[in-house]
Amino acid sequence: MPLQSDLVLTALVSATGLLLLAMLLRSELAHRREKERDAQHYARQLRSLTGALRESIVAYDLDLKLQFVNPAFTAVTGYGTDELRERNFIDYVHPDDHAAVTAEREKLARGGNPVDQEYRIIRKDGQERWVSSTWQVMRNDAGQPIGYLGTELDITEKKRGQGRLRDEAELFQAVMEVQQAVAAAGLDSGTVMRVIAERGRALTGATGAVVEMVQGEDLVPRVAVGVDAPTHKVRGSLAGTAVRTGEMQRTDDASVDPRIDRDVLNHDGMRSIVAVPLKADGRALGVLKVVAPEPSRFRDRDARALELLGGMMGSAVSHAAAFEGRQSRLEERTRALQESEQRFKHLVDAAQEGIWVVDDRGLTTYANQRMADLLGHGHGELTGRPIFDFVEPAARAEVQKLIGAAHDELRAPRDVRFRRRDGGELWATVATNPIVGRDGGFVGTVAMVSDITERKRAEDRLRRTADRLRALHELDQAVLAANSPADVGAAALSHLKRLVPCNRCTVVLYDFDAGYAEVVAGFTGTTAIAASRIPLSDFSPAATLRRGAVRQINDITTLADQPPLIARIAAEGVRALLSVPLLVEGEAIGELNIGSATVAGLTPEHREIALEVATPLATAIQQARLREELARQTVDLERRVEERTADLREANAELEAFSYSVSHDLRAPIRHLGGFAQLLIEEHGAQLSDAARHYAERIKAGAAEMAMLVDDLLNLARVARQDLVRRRTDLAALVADLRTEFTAETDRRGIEWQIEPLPAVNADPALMRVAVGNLLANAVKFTAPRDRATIRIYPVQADGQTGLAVADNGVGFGMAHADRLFGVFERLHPPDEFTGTGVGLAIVRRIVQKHGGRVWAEAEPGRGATFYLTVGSGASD
Amino acid sequence: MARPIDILLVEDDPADAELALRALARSGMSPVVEHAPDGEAALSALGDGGIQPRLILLDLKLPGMTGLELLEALRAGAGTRHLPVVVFTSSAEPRDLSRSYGSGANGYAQKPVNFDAFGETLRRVCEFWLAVNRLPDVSQ
Repeated sequence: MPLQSDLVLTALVSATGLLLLAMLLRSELAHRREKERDAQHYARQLRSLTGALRESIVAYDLDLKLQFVNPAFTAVTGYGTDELRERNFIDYVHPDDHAAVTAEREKLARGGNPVDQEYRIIRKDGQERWVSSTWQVMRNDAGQPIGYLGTELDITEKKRGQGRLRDEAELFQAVMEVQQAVAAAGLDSGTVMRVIAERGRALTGATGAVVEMVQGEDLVPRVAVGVDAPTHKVRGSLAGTAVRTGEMQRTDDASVDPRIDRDVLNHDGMRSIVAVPLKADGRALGVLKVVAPEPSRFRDRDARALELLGGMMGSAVSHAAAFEGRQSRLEERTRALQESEQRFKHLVDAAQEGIWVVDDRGLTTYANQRMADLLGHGHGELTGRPIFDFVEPAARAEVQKLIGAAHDELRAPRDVRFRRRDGGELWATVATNPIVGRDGGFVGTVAMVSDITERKRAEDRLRRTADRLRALHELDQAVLAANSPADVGAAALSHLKRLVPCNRCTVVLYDFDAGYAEVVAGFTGTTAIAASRIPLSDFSPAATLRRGAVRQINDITTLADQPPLIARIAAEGVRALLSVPLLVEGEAIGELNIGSATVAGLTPEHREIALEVATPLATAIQQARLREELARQTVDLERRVEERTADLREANAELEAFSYSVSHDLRAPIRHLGGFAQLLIEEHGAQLSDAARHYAERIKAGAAEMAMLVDDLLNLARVARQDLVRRRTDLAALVADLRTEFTAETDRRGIEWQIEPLPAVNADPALMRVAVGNLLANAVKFTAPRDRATIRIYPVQADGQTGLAVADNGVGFGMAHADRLFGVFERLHPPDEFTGTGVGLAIVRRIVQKHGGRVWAEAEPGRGATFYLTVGSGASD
Repeated sequence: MARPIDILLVEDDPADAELALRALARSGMSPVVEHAPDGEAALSALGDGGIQPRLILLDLKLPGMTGLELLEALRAGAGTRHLPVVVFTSSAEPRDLSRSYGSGANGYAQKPVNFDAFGETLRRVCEFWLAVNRLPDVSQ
């Protein structure tokens, strides 16, 4: 039985599912701070949303581990989240109903559609409650299942109410029948008694029903249904007690009841008995009695029903007996009816629910006080009018099903919207039972009407909240997907107009520096507003704007001092205006304007929505701006890098050309200096003084030194310009070969070479030869002062690169100057100690750089130096 | 008709020219050397009724016509295409080397900075080419 409209449930469940999803998957979203903030936002929304729900919400993950229950769940079951977490899936459900709930879950897991179920749950205190429930599969954004969500509504009261309603309806029907019987049979007391006995038996489920009348000391059966009924004494029977006392008598087991004569009992063997006196003018004329052979057969409501019937019959029968033939039949009948009706009215008017009786055409034959109250009408004003007069047009077809003569399944209780006399709405659950005439034909309907207006309104609010959340989520998605502030604004507005009635909406961004505001998105009616700039002075003072207050005006035409912009908007037909600031870190970057053509057409709820929209909107616009700025800077940066690269390349080329030509063109004058100095010394030395010869020697030596410098510079320039040709280069072979260049020195000085097995590298062999050769030459040179020079060469692996190290026990150097080591013309030792130009290591570094490798040194003055050289990964073969 | 000599030195730098002549003199070979300071002077000296060198030492960097242009002109001229030309230059550029051979040089020698080495290089080049390319004496 659908307890409420599927729409609400669906909206609710999808919204809560979404929210739960956001909460449960918060960790998935952790990589985006914004997203996480959203998730927390949703989690808060979820808590407040589900906190206000009457429905219990329970969520399990795919492993059937409990993830969440809302306060309503705890209120109904007595269990909190933590208590249930350690327990099995749906442990709180009545064991008899486990199979059904599990089957439903398994069906969902296979992709089946959810179906409403009703089942019992066991509270923590052991009490049993009925719930109506829907289970759904929760899915993430990608549509993959992440768990199960149960929505349960406590329907225990409803269940009980249904039982009562059924009882009342049956009773009412019995009363109607009796009335009809009385009306039809007049004061034919025999017929009335028979109808009453039959209805009494049917209503109470008794084995038999008997009407007995007092005749002297005896109780004489007048009508017996279902059982034989012998005449018996007033004394010694339960019926007799009822007659004597004038009160209803009831026994759940006659065999142990002292009021009952053994003989009577032995005769009929009936153990459950209810007997009500039939009274007229305060005197009991007889009894109406129902009996059953099993003990405890009758319930309270059976007794109540029988009492009502007995009361009705008493008056009818007594009048028949007392005044038969002496007064107008019509008058008596009317009076009898009025009396019985009065009794019934007392019953139904006290009812919490509206009771509405209509005939087979839908005309009201009776409505109780409560029903009239519900509709805002006076008592009796409904009588004679069609029920449809009070029903909203859209609900008439539903009502027709409820009061028609058709099948029972169409009579399932429905929620119907009635119209009150004051034009307001009345939402009510309507349950009906047909009234069947004596001939078995359909004569009318009794409807039980429960006011659910408040619930409906709460559901409406809930649905609107759920819709709002969903719309806001969609809006969030849309604005996050948008690229430019204008796109963000347009996306937000297209979603916003589904939530708020806006005739004219704009997203405006301020530019305080430039003194104008830019309308980046907007529409009036269905027309988009083109992007435009408006002076900030048209709005409000900049200071006011910057603070970012919410401004709401119910009717802008009443403003005494209209800013120009407001006047223009008013001319477009806007009356109510709502401006919400777009705040970023506490400062307004713009505003969201919503204009309604209706005076005071923007409610607090709209304002709330606008505020909710403004936050993600502001964030998204800010992000879009940053993205645009970033893109612009990236382009700018790329352009500048390109320019710089081109400049650098040109400068490099110039430098290379320069260093090449310098070293090239310098060679000639050096040669001349050295050559002529030598000619002077060798061919004219005899004519020179010692001093002159000495000077000529200095010129020659200077030229020789300069020649070396130039040669090194030339080599450096050549290395810089030379293309790199990588191939497999065996460092072991290379070192062995280079080593022979130092044979003379080795022999002379007794240098000890310790050469470990070396790898092959993928490098330019010629350049590697230069680089390694330089390192070896340095090692040889700087170990010169050592009596026992040792040069060790061993393989090196660093940062995924391969190479070698050259360690010597030479003079070393201080690490403080290590950074100058590889510069051009940098020397850490005076030239008169060690020859060299200071270009060698610069060449090494240039070569290593060309290979994408690395060269570095470690040393200590007087303790030797180690140079490391790596040139990319090792050769593959 | 042509006047046979040993070497035509095409060299714009007078200091280099002097050093070369001095070095050759000191080498003990005593060759007959003529000096042309640029390409035009060289071509005119080699013209009809001019000199017939057994070796041309050619500097690449010349004012006006470059060494390579002169080389190509020599290779294009009927009377000069057979003359051995050794490029004698400061340049150690591989590009200059390959261009020189590409334009028809018979040899390429870099001028060392050191005077001894300079003289030695010059001596070996000249000794080799004067020996292997001794032309028949036209006067006979």
